[in-house]
Amino acid sequence: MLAITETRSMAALRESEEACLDFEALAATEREGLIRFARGMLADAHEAEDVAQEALMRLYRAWGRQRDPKAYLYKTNANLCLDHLRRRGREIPPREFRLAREPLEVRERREAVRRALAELAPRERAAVLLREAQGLSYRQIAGALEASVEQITNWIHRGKLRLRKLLTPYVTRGEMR
Amino acid sequence: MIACERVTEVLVAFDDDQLDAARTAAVEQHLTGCEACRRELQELRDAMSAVSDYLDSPAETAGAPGVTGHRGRAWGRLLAAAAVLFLVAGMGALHFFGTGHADAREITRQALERFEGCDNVRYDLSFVLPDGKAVRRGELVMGSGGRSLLRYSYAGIEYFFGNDGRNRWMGIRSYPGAPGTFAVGADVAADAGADGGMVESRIPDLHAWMKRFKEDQKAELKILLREKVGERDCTAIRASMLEEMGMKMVTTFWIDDEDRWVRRIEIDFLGMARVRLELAETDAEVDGKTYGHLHYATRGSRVIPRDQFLGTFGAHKQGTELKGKMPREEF
Repeated sequence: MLAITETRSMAALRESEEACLDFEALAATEREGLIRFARGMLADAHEAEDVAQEALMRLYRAWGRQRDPKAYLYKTNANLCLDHLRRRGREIPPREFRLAREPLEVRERREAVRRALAELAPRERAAVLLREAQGLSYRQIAGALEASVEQITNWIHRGKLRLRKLLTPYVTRGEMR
Repeated sequence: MIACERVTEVLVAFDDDQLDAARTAAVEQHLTGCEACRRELQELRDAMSAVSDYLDSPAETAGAPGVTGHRGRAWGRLLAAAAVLFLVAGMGALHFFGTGHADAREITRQALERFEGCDNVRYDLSFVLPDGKAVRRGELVMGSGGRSLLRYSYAGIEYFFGNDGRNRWMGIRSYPGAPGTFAVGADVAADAGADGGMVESRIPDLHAWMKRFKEDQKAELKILLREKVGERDCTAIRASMLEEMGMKMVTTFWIDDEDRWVRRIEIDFLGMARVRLELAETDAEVDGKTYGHLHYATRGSRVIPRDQFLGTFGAHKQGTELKGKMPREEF
């Protein structure tokens, strides 16, 4: 409904307005992390923004009905990415970086990361990225991926060791080449 | 001392602080004396740094990277979502796409000043969706002689519209990420039988940004209006809002054959005026440069008694009407 009231009678609406502001604050805080995660999952910056935005829209629609909005957001974002990967199969989008102003070796390293992440099994990739891109605890990751902490520990272990193996040729000890 | 194999098994957990104190101490002790395991840990950390560097790196955008960049596109999506909410809220009639008036800020500033100190009626506005979420808020000030102001903000966008008392709405809106402010000018003719005419904007420096924004908006509208929200829901929500406000409005969107985003707004605004608008965006070349143009036309806008404004609007033929030039037929 559309409410038009005089200033003094606005108190009744304040609560819903504040709820809206809460959503905006949460969206502002979480958006970057959601995009980082989705980008690592999907190997495409633009698709990542689409997915993260969709996750935020879903939270917006469900606002007030979720006990833990953040957990809902992480889970939704992860599920959207996993669904996306299921539809897309193992192919990854063509080379993402074409900015000539970046040195070649930097572009190559980033491209290697993009491809290395795509080598991981989707759930391993998701677990690693929830940790590295969004900084979640193992328990939060378990909630987002609906798995036990033991499984998460296992996936992150396997995923990170695989990344280490794939990426070591592109980085020198203690500093990125 | 534990063996290297055992350390490798828990190295990731160690680096993520997932081990208990005793095992952490054991791994630390091992690392002190084992260069191979230290190297392994360093390689692991380097790999994670490379992942982080990739996730934070800019990616080229298909549109205008110099203007919008990574964040701009995200904002475009958010704004598109906000635009949809705006439409659902049913105030589209005041949402005129704009012109490039350089003095719009000055005009609106003066308009604001004119309202100060007047005996105005001031309203706070909140547009509330049926589930109780406030989606936008602002104020409406109605002065004497038909002068009025509408000001609100949402998702970082500032909107301001002023009616100068001659039924001309002027205003601005500004977007985060945009290289400037969109000026809005609408001349809604109030005289019986007069047309508001067509206004054309030339916004060279905003062209790339706007084009991208509209692309996002098109995509978002296609998804949200057609698939998610659903036309029926939109119409129902809008109708209930407008009824309360004493407004009657029909907004129709379509993408025409030339892939232009077009909308028609038909409205009875607060019982005072009947307004019909059509808006379309095109590109055009002027002196060898490509400009983004936003056209809008008001036709058949007139003040009529409210009780005579209850008829239904005719259906339009989707996707064909705005090819070439603006249609001129009467509603």
